Amino acid sequence: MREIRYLQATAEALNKEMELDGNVIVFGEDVRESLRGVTKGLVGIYGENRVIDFPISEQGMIGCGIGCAISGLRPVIEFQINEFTFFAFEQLVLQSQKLRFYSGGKIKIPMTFVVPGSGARGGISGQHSDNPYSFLIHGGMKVVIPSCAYDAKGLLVSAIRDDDPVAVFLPTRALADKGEVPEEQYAVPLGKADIKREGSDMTVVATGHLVGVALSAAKKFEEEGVSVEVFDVRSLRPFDKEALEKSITKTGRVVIIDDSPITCGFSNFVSAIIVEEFFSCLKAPVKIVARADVPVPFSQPLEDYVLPSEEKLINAIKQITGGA
Amino acid sequence: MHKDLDKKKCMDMFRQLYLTRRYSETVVELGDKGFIRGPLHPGIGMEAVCVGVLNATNDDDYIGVSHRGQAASVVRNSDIGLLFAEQFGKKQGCNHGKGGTMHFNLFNEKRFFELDSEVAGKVPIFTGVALGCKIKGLKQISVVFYGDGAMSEGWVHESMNLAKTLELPIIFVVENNQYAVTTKVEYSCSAKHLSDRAKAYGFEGIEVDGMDVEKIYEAAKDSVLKVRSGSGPINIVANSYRFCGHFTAERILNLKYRSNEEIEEWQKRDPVSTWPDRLVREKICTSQEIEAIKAAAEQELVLAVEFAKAGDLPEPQDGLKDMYATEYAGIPRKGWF
Repeated sequence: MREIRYLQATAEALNKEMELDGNVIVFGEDVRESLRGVTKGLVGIYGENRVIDFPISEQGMIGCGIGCAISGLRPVIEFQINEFTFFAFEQLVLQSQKLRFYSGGKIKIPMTFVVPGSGARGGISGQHSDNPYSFLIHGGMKVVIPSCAYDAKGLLVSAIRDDDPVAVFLPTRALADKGEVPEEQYAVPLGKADIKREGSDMTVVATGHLVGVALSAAKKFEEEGVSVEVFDVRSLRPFDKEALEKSITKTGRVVIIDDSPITCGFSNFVSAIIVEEFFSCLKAPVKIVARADVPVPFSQPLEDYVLPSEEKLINAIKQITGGA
Repeated sequence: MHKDLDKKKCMDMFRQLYLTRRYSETVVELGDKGFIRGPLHPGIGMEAVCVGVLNATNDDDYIGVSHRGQAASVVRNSDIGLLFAEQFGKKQGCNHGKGGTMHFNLFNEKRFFELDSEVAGKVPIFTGVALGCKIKGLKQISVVFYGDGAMSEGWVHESMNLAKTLELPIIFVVENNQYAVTTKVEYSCSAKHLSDRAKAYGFEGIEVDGMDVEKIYEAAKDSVLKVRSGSGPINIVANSYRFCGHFTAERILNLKYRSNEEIEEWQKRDPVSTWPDRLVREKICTSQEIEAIKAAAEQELVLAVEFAKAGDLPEPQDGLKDMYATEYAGIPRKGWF
């Protein structure tokens, strides 16, 4: 099968959805030129009525997305920079997640919120390096983080076809990765995790680009006789608890690696489920490798110290497996 | 009298003014008696703004009002029993008891109609609704109401700029009731005239007497025509007043931000009495006809309250329903207990 880059896969997904459904529109900042590449060329195909450049007004943008969705369209909104999520928090959490509920189910808001450039890309310090998905999950939002090109295409398709707001975080560190992607349109469902590598001694639950990190670590442990299963969360909310139970029942040992803050971050949600519901399967304490509770610092050694990495994951796995 | 305002329309506007006023007063009474949970923010005194504007719109236009906009709910809803039932937390309520007083949503009955407790939080959404109408080539327009306090929220400014940049069919209606809770508008707004803000964003801002339902209707009618024909956004600032406190609890707070004399001065211009007085004075209708409208409205209120009282409380587990339109196993979570 042909191989394409992760970003190209998302662009393909969006382009095809716009072709298939005239109600799909896209807007954001600089989407006609497209700095990231997700919306490259779309204005030439679908016109300015469906590909709209917005002023720098993130709250207004999400509000407009909700409004367009209510009027019957399927807006896809791109935020170039992960931090803009915080600007739009009122609309994302107080409005997009509550409107349907307190209307008693009368309205639906099929809106997709795409962040192509989530997390630290290195050397951009504190205000461009966040992964704000834990906040959105806390607010009720459906969130997916594809780890590879195949999932990037399929999950974006599912997000656009979903009748609720869905946030799609595309980690900066995965955007250039290449992978096998079918040319035809396909959907990877929300709520389904994917075992990216089977193993029997322990489970690494990973999100986004850290799935690649986990796969690399797993390979190293294989050489030392430790069989590591890599559990790609893919869909953070809804979360695939059944798949997690199956994996933990088999391995009994878990490390969770995630690039949101270690306190009240996504990793805590997973460990809470494991401890509350699958305690009897555990042969060792749950370990978490996540981001430290500080803004991402600029200088390389400082940055490396606070972010999750393969080295930290390896240490965590060793703690549980007793060396190896 | 405005040429569109024939006898029937004039009387209907009185019915709406009166019913809204009495509805609000009844809500306060029922709240005091313990039938309605939570804070109440009646718009007593401000009814003419909603009544004037809404009568100039079509039934399928999109209307968003503020937390004080129950007037608009009464005008747009043919069955106010559904509103009372909602406020009583009953499952027969317009939102099955999920929204309550501050979140009436009448989507199915009359297009998207939404009340918002998040100060001006609906302004960007109704800007988006206008964008949707424009993209789809529809003739519908979006009308969004918010207060003099809310107009200083950042997202209102974003929305006004967006509306002009994208030339959207939207009317921004500022219900200036002079106070954001206790803060006077002259203090909170840097512009001399509130409508100057629209001009700063490159579109028309009109100021009207918010106690005169005819003048509001006239301004709204002109604006609706222009906006529907593609003029881009318009801002109407209606200068009005709330006779009651910001919320019902204010009655026991002994606040000093305004004088009784000031309230009494505004009450002289109360649309619920000046409008019918004018209709009788100008021989548009008789005082008997006015009394008949009042009696019918009272009867409607009694029946609506009875309907709400007779309704059923929702099943507790319905508290998890209606969160998602596309459902998945496991969400929303509740935990084991």
